[in-house]
Amino acid sequence: MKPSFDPNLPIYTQIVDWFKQQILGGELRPGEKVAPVRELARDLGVNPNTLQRAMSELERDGLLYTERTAGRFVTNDSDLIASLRQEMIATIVQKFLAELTALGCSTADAVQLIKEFGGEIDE
Amino acid sequence: MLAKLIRLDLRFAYKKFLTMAALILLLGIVAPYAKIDILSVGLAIVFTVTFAVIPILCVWLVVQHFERNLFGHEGYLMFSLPVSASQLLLSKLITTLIWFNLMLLAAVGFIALLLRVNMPLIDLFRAAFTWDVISYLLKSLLLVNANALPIILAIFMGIALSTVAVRNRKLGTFWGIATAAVGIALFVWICIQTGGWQYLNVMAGDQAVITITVAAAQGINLAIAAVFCALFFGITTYIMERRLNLA
Amino acid sequence: MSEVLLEVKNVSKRYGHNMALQNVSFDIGADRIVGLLGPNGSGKTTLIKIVNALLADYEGHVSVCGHRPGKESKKLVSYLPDKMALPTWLTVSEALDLYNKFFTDFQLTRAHGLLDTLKVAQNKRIGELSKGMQEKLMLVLTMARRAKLYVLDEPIAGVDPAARDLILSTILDNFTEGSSILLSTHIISDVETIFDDVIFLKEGQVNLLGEAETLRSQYGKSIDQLFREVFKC
Repeated sequence: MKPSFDPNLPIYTQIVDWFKQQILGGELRPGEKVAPVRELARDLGVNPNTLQRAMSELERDGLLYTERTAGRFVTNDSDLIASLRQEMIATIVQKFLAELTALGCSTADAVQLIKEFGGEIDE
Repeated sequence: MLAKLIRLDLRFAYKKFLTMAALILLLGIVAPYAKIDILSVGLAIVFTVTFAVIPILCVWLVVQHFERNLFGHEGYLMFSLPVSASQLLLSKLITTLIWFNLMLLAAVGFIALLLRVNMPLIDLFRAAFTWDVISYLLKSLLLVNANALPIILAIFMGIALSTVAVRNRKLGTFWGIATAAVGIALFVWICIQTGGWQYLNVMAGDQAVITITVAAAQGINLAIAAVFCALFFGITTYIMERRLNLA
Repeated sequence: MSEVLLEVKNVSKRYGHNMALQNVSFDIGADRIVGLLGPNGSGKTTLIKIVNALLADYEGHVSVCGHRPGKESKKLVSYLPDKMALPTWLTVSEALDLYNKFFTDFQLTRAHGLLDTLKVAQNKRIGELSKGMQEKLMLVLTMARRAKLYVLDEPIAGVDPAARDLILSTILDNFTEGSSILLSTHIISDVETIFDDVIFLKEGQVNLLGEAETLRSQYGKSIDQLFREVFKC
């Protein structure tokens, strides 16, 4: 559960990415309560202010929201989650294809490769 | 806070002092049985030696405790407590007086126990419990305490000073001892000059075997002791507050 | 951020010809975790001793919550020395009692809880505990106070990675809201993610000072890597 951070990059962007992955991947469910900053900071071994900064960014993106007394929650807006998920998938696939194209693979080759390697991963 | 400090200081050192007091009394009890006739050298000599050795032993233990507790590793704890330097020093001084008087009491007990061969303890107590004897003892006790204080403080001052030169321990120790010695010498010299202290020779035949100093001019003696206490206390507090350098 | 908890201004300390500290200046505001980083002998402990009034003979200006280091500042600062300062014949619960008596901000129940979590036996004498356990006890005593500033001198030196995680989570879990931490260390990897700000101390001088995240994006390097570059022989 605990992610490992690359200390060569700013920590807070890595926290944001990790949370996005958790939410979009369904690890954190819509409406689920998020642990308090202090507790999370301890569990992740990061600075509380850094974590707070990441949380604020996720709130700005609409993935988290705060209820004044109850705490912080994952958004209930499943449309938002779905669309961000699509966006993320699209970005990854586009990047993947771009890299393969640069190596001279056609889209058809790529599909073939995915079938081959995907089978290995599924097993 | 001072009361808490004193309790802490007593807890830090009580085992050593109680053990020593017990050993002294034990010697007093055992000596007559063991046919060690200490008294044969003469009561006056036993008296003087007892009252010279035991307080010195006591001061030695106090000095050890002072140095380790304030300027050794434990100093990191003591100087982190929310108390002032003068409170730390005052607490050390008060506990020292408590130990010092406990040791004097042990010395009295030791001599009484030796004397029980010649005179049953009950008769000794009966003889001692007269107003004259008690008032004399109390007065002596006051003078002994008053004159011990500046000497103890001079030693504390020397120890505090010796720790200032943290990178050169030997030089620091030299200055510490020198300062304490000069302080004590100055105090004694002024006491003698002003008639605060006077010699009393204990004679064996026509030879002075032992010289006891007694306070003749008691008022002057107390005043001088007070001035020296204030001086040494002030200097030591200044060092602990402004020149401290824990190793 | 407006409140300055620790102000160090042009502080120098000389031992004979040797400058232990030279013109060191920095501020620590509220709610910050600050790493004081440098190899052994760089002046970290000297600086920390000055902040805690264990070293009073220095040049420059130090202010802890508006107080010169002394009796008042000691009420507000919780200090973990790099030496075993407790007498070894005290039992663990007597040590707790001592802190409870002298520090009004000490929380006894919290301390008991922490000792249980860290598995420190309470009925033993301190001398009977292993060195690691003694260090944990000192940490518990320090973190069970509700202080304004925590000054921790090498809390993770000489412990294995598992204990390191436990010590760090104890620190992160227990420092008071709005208070700050000054933590000195010469081991940076595994720890650097907890710092807001870092101060590099090299031969008694501030070599680099800044927000950890800013430094990471500015140099594209970890604090650990920056440290290795600054202090390479």
